[in-house]
Amino acid sequence: MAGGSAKGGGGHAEGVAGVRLYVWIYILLLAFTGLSVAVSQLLMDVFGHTPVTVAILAFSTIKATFILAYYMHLKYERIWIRMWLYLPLAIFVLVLIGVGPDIYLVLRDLWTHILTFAGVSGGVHH
Amino acid sequence: MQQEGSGVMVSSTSAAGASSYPPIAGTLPEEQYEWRGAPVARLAFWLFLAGEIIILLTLIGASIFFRLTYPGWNEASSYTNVVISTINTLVLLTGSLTAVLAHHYAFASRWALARLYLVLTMLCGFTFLGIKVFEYSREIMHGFLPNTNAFWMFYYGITGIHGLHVLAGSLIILGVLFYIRKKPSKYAVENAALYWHFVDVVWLYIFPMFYLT
Repeated sequence: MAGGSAKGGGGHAEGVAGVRLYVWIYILLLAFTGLSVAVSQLLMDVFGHTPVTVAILAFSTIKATFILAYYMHLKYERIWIRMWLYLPLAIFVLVLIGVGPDIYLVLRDLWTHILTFAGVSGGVHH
Repeated sequence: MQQEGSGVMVSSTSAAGASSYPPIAGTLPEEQYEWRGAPVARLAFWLFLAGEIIILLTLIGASIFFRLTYPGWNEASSYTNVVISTINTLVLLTGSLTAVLAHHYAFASRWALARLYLVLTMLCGFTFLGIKVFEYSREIMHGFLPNTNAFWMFYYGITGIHGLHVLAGSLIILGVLFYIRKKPSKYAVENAALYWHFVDVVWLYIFPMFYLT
């Protein structure tokens, strides 16, 4: 049937999510933004730049997931639509695999930093 | 009755009547153009977004890994303004809320509300750009130029491309506002809103990379 189904069809916007849900997600997005700013300003000197950067990027990923799932309605879409998000992400993963050796060197230093902070003597040996 | 033309399923019961010819694009209600249950307008726009995602994901990915290795990044990023960028983040997130509400009311055929929220989204876009221009002018006056070091090269490159996308999103919304005055189209509103959300998601990674860390 054309367009009328609540899940994935053309008329999903009024069927699957309401104004109240959108406002709650907006409040969550603001809260995570506030949390990101607070962490960057208060914990940078305590934990160092790299762990804080990773934490804040994780908050950004949570926010992006909310927007993609609810504001862009991917949670309710058919695979033919979601595919256009998965495909570029898959290409990005292939690029990451292609530059794997460089990433290994970066992450090795990152884990050394984290383990050193946690008190594990010597961190990762290399 | 369903007809198949160029792989796109369309209904021929209403506008095309009993004609044996495939209906010309635009002659049927827009929701009747679909492919395997997905509206063609939405499918096509996501195809466009897939290209945009690859471009910006690659740029942001490069800056993330560069940031992890470049020793001067932390010091250079301390000169960008957290307060201004946080205000800009709130402006973009507010624009996302108004965009999804415009989308919601367009699908409910409440066009006055849909237009109102589209106007608010567009205003958020121009507010963001105004603040960004002010921010750029401050940084340039302090001597931070794209050739100052690698951080500022990434900063002006990525925030500049993002700013152009915000400008494009705002102009698209302006175009949609004119378009739906003559022909109410829920998919035109939806695609404008999707573009806005995409631009917002990109900023969610730019903000921490260049301002918070």
